[in-house]
Amino acid sequence: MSCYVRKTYLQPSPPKWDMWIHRDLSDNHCEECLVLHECWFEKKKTPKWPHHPFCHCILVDIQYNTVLSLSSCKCPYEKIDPYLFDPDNFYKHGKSAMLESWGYTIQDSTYLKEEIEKQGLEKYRNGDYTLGQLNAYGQRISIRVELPRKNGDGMVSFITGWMVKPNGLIQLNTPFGGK
Amino acid sequence: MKYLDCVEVIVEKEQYAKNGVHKGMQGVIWLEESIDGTWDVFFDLWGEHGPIGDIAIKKEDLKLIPRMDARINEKIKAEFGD
Repeated sequence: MSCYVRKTYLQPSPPKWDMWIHRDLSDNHCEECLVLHECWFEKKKTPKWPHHPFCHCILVDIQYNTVLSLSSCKCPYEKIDPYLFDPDNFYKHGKSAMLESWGYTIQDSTYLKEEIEKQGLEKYRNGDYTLGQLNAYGQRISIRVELPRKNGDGMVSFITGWMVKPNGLIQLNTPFGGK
Repeated sequence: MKYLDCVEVIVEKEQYAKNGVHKGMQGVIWLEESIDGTWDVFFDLWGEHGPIGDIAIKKEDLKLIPRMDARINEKIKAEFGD
C-alpha cells in the first residue's frame, strides 16, 4: 500500500508594520501625537499606544511591501561636514580625531553619508532599531551602523540617531551617538 | 539663532536637568525648525563618549556663542554627578 505524503511548504510571514494615524476628533491636540501622524513603525517597536488618556490616535496595518518600496532616508550632509569633521574647529567635540583613527578624513564625507543612509534604511526596514525620545520635534530611533576600518583590518560600529518622519521617511539626526 | 549655530544654556531648570542638561552646557541647534518658542539643541561629549542628546530648550534660556567646546559639558556633567 503506498502512502501519499502531503508536503507543506512553510513560508516566513512578512514583518508586520503600523502606520500611526492622529484623528482630529477634539479641539485639543497632543503635540506628540500630531508629530507621529502617518509615521511607520514595526509593530513591536511602535511608540506606546494609546499615547495618553483619551488619545484618539489609531494604528493602521501597513503592508510590508509598501514599507520596502516606499520607505526612504535622508542624511543631511552638514551633520557629517562640517559638524562631525569640524574642519574649522567650531564645534570642538574630538570626533574628527576619532574618525581619523579609523582612517577616515573629511574627504570621505560623501562615502560616510551614503553608507550611513544605506545601513540606516536597511535596518529600519528590518525593524532593527530602538525607540528613543519622543517630543514635539518627533520620534527618535537609534540604529547601529558598521564601517570598515580604512587603515587596517576589522570594523568599527557606532550608534546613529534618526527622526521618524511621515510616510516611511527617516532622517539622520545624530551621526555619532556613541559606541 | 539658526540651524547649526552654537548656543549655551543660561539657566538651571529641572525640565532640562532631568535630561542631563545644566546651566553652562554648550550645544548646537540641531534642527532647522523652531517649535513653540524652543530650539532642538544637541549636547555632545568629547571623543568616543556618546552624547547627552538633543532636547527642546526655550529660546530665552539660550545665548548664542561663537563656538562650542564639548569638554565644558564633560566638566559640568562630572560636577553634577550625572
